[in-house]
Amino acid sequence: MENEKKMITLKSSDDVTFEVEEAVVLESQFLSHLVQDCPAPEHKIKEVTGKILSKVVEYCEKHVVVVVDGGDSSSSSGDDLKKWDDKFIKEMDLSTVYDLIAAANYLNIQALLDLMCQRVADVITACKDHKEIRETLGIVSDYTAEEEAEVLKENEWAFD
Amino acid sequence: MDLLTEDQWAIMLSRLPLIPILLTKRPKNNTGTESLLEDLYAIILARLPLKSIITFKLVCKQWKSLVESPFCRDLFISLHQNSFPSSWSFMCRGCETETMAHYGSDNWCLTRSLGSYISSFLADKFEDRQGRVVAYTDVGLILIYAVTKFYVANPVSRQCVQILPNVNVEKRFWILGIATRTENDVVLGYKVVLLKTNFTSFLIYSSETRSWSHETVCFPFTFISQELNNPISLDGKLHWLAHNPEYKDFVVSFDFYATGDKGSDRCRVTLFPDLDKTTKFKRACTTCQGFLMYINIVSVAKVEKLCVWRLKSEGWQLVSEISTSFITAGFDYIPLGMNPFDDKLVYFWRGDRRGQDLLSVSLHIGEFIVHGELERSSDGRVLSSVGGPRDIEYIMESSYSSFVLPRWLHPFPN
Repeated sequence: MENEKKMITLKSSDDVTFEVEEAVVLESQFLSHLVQDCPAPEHKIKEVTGKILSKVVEYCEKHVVVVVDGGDSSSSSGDDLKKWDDKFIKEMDLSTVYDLIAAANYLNIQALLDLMCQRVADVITACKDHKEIRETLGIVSDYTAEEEAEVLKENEWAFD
Repeated sequence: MDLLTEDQWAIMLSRLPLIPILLTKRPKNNTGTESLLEDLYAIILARLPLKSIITFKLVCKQWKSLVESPFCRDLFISLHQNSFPSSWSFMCRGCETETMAHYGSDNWCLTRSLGSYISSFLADKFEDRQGRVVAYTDVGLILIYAVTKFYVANPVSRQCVQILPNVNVEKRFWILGIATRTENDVVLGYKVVLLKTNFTSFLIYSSETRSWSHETVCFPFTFISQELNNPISLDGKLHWLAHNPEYKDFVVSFDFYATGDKGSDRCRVTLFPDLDKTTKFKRACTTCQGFLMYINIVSVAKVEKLCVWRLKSEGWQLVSEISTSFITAGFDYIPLGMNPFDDKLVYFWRGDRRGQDLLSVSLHIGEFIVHGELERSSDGRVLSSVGGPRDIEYIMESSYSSFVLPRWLHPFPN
């Protein structure tokens, strides 16, 4: 039993397959219900591309709690995991981050969703004002000068 | 089985824990970048402090409508379910003095106390200290009276509505306060309530009709006096104290948003629960988690106990009874009220000839903490017992109102 880990195949929208241990799949609430209800060996996830699914699998494999023979928990310690998380997100561009947020939301992987949202939140809070937010996130303002002044006036208290 | 059917989706969702993102927004099958980004931004923005979120309205129109959407509000409130959801203060009635303030690491992330927002707002808005706060609420609104005019304002957002004056308001009416109608922390309407000095009618300004109207009232009780200086505003009602001809104290609860026509449905009278016992403090009420609360030290079988009651529809419910070991001889004590968000924390002011302190008493363990004038906890919360040294007699004679910001900022009706 110990040596025979149940493997599950996940297939992305563009038909890239990933063979993972069941424990890894259980990191996702959505997938754990799916696996329980439908014990097929392969599951297609139409909403997630192979590029993004590989990131999801990478994250879940790192975060899954592995119990080795001696019964010791060999899951990475909190500090290591945090360092790994930091490196994991630093290597990503914003559009990958967005796709991962959508995937984590869809697959219901709360920790990954939190991590990714926090990353964008950090990017946003690091901006000194709304102009920098626009530049960083590539948003084009659709306010006229008058409208912008009006919004500023209404919400002046928050800017002090 | 590739895609889930509608029914399977419903089963799936019903099994999931209450994660608002999944429950309120089902992921879209067509991953149109625009709408997806919009959802994502709401999910991300809702994680940040309220004060920052407000500044994001300047980014673009889409972000403004996002920030103002009920979806963002619900997400924000569910993601900020901490024990310190909002800033609040105990205000000394009849002046704008703050007795204690709690702010900092809450949804708003304010860097100053509500009292300081009130005083700077009054100073900017009114000349020569003419504006006076005459009522506080638990939804961020204050009622200001200045030279025969009333103003309803949120001193933090600085939204302020001047109410058209009614003739001769000043001479013939008591100012009772402001009753509010809210839903999910959003103020939908308010009423400014005055009472004719012969107790025969109310003069009410309603934000719904934008006008003043008279309303005859016949109180369904006899009284020798009513304490109209500090009514408590809670969920459409105003609560105040009164005394009957047998000198028994009771609470009058008047519902200004009740739909029934009969006066008796709208006005409820509740005798205090400890009338047959010896009590230590002058009776006064406070609020906690949306309930009217009453605190006193009562002699039970010759043993003094700190008792806390909650007003429910069936009457007073004793929610806590603990020993009074925190009382030290030689000090004078006055209960300020309860923490509006924590039904296990009661605040006292104590003083003797040498000095004064703010005390919090835990109803869980019966222990107390003496607070410094300005305390900062590691998570950025600030507790300050402002006001400084004052005459203890003055403190003892005053009454206190809690002033609480809502968990979410939404403009109130003009």
